[in-house]
Amino acid sequence: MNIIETQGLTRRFGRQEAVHGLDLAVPQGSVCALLGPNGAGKSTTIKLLMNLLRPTAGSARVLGVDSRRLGPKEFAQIGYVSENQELPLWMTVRQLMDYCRPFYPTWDAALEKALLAQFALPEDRKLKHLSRGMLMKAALLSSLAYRPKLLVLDEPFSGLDPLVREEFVRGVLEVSALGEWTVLVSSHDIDEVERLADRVAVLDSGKLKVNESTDELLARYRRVEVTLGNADAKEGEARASWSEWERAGNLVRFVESRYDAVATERACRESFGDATVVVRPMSLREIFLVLARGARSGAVQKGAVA
Amino acid sequence: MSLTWQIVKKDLRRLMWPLAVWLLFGLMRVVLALRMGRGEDAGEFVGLGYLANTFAVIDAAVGFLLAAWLVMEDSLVSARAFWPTRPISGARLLGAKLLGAVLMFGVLPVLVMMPVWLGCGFSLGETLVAAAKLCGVHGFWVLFALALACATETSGQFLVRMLFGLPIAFYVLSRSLFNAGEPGLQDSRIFLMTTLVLLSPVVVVVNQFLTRRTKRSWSLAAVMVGMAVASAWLWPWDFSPLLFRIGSRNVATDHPQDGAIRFAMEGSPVIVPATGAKNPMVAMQLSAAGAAPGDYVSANHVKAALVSSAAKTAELFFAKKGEAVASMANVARGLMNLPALAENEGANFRLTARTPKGQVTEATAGNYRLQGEVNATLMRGRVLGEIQFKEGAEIRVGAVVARIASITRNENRVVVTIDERDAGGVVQDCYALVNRRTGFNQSLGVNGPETLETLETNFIRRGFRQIEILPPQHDLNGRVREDSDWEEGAVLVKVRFTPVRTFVRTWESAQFQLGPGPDGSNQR
Repeated sequence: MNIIETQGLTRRFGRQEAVHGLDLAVPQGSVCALLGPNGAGKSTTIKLLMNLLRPTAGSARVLGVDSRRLGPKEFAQIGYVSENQELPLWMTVRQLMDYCRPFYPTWDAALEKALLAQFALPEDRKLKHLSRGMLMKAALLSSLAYRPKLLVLDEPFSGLDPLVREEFVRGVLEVSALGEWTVLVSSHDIDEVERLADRVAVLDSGKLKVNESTDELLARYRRVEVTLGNADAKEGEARASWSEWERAGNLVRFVESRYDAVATERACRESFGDATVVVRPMSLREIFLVLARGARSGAVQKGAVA
Repeated sequence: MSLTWQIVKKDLRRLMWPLAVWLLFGLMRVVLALRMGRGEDAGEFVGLGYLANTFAVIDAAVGFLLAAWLVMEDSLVSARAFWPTRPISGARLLGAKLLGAVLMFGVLPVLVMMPVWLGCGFSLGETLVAAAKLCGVHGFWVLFALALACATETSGQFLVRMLFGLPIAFYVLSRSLFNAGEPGLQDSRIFLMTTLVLLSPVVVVVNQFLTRRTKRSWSLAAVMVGMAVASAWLWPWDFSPLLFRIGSRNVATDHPQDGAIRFAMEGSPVIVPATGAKNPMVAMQLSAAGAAPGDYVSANHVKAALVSSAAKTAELFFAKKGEAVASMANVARGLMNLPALAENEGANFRLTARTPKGQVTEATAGNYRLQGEVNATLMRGRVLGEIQFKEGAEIRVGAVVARIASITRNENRVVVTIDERDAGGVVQDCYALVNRRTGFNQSLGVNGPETLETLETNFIRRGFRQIEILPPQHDLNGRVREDSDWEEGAVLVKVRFTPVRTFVRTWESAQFQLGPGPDGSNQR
């Protein structure tokens, strides 16, 4: 069952199309990372999902309900933390918890206490006097203590120093390990997301480029290095799934986006003959960069979208 | 309800200090208005009056901003707001904000003012009326503040819209409010326009809270204000009889004691020629008789058909021009057990009506009669008390305090300055100087030109009245001399008329010749 489902979701601001025909599915219990460079439409997508913005076209369903009809019943099961959210900064941490608590029938006081201790939040300090990291943790605390079915994090790592980022990620990981929570996290900070996400969606210029499980994505992408017999040797025809092609002397490098040990080996033999082929796995960051560069040059491989 | 209250508590906590400062400021304004000028120098009171009025504007402006703050604390426009992703519905938020507004701008100001009102001697009824009026006044601008704030994202935008948008909108509306219209029709248009203008913020608030569709809220506001302006110019039907209860039941049947009251037209109406683009006016004088002793009948307006021979020529709506002061003074004299003065008898109300375009002109002449209804108010008088005729003397009756601040001489007249404090409301006061020992008495008029300055702050009225007394004189060897010791034992008697009820009476005039007044004016 999908906790989030969008169909042709589109949002325009004047002539600018921030999100274009987005078809996204986030299965229950997954931790889905919404990746993309600045201005890719991640925050707009999340705002559309949270009914903070209304779609220009298409639709989204969150927890089985049309996003435009999300009400108190659904929001009692959704935790939303955003770097842009206007928190009541005049409140102390304690006052924020006291204010939020009655709205959630499932509020877990023990979990609140545990998270307070874990996040080392000073209860009597006003939010406006907290550091950015502390503020995000306070927001996270107020969105976790009722054990939401869906946790939506919009750029939660933005502006956090590495230590706080580590604590934050650990916090989310620990919490997500507590139950069958679905997490949607948008970020352009791939290293942090890689540790969290079991599913990745990549947006660029408002369009969805990739939406698949992290394992599948990591398995699909390989950096291939081919050492030809001599520097003058000619290579054969490149395949559609090969990108970032470069040659230096007898060394040819490219990225294979449909890696399959047998098929890729065979394709290399056909193109390069009796050359030495070395295949290396890629990190999520490397894959993201390949996708981003491809999108920017307009050379995204056909079929890259799962 | 508990969740709504949770939001209200949050807002009250957030706005606690600004609210306290605003309430204190309001209280200070009242204290200033009560304490300012002690009557020795009425000019000082006038100056301080300006200060108090400035304070009143600041008070309203700060209150307006506070009301806006209440809403913008949980923005309905910003996609970054905290509440929309929490289990809080728009309806609940609206309920919480309205409840918060009632507490902040209704209950709390009333609680703060209550000791002052009670300290000023307000009766329970007066206190309730003052509280209701205070809530009404606050409610008026809170409504507009809520509407503007709920459809505005940032405080900067709000300030710009408050400082420029609202004044422009009110200017356009006020220009439309009193545009030339036929009698009755103009009242219908004003009513319609006012209703639409008051409804527009309600529609905006409800739409914005329930849907958060800001563009639609602004569109609705624009449509309603546009309709209001259009109705002020284009509305074709006169429904004023419904508004003024003319044409409805005759209230005299509910109050048999009013049955004896009769209205009569004095002389014939005259046509006041048209001036500029305005239509000619018809002016007439009306007298009322038959009220019980101590009661005074005040005509408010008359709606009448001008009937020529058999056919109706025009519908006229007569509005009163001033109070028949002399007539009221005679009723007051009756209450003081003083004989009526002949020169005050037969005093009338002057009423004028703007004629519908093309139906009555200066050239119109012939036999007519007026057939219609009078809307009148029965005012009941009572002697409030007597003030010894000396500086510093005073009477206190309920909320009424009247103190002789000074007695000075101006050639052959004596000028008495009275410092008055009172509850707000529609009242008419009469004074008379009476010396029962010598039998000298003098009516000193009704509220009006002798009132120097009045300031009403949170329904406590403070004012100064200056009245002139012509001392009794006698002829001594051909020379006019002022009686000696005429002030000894003299008192100022204060009589107050308050409205008892408003009633409607059908009325028909005798036949008359209608034509222009001899001097082209309605002054006869």
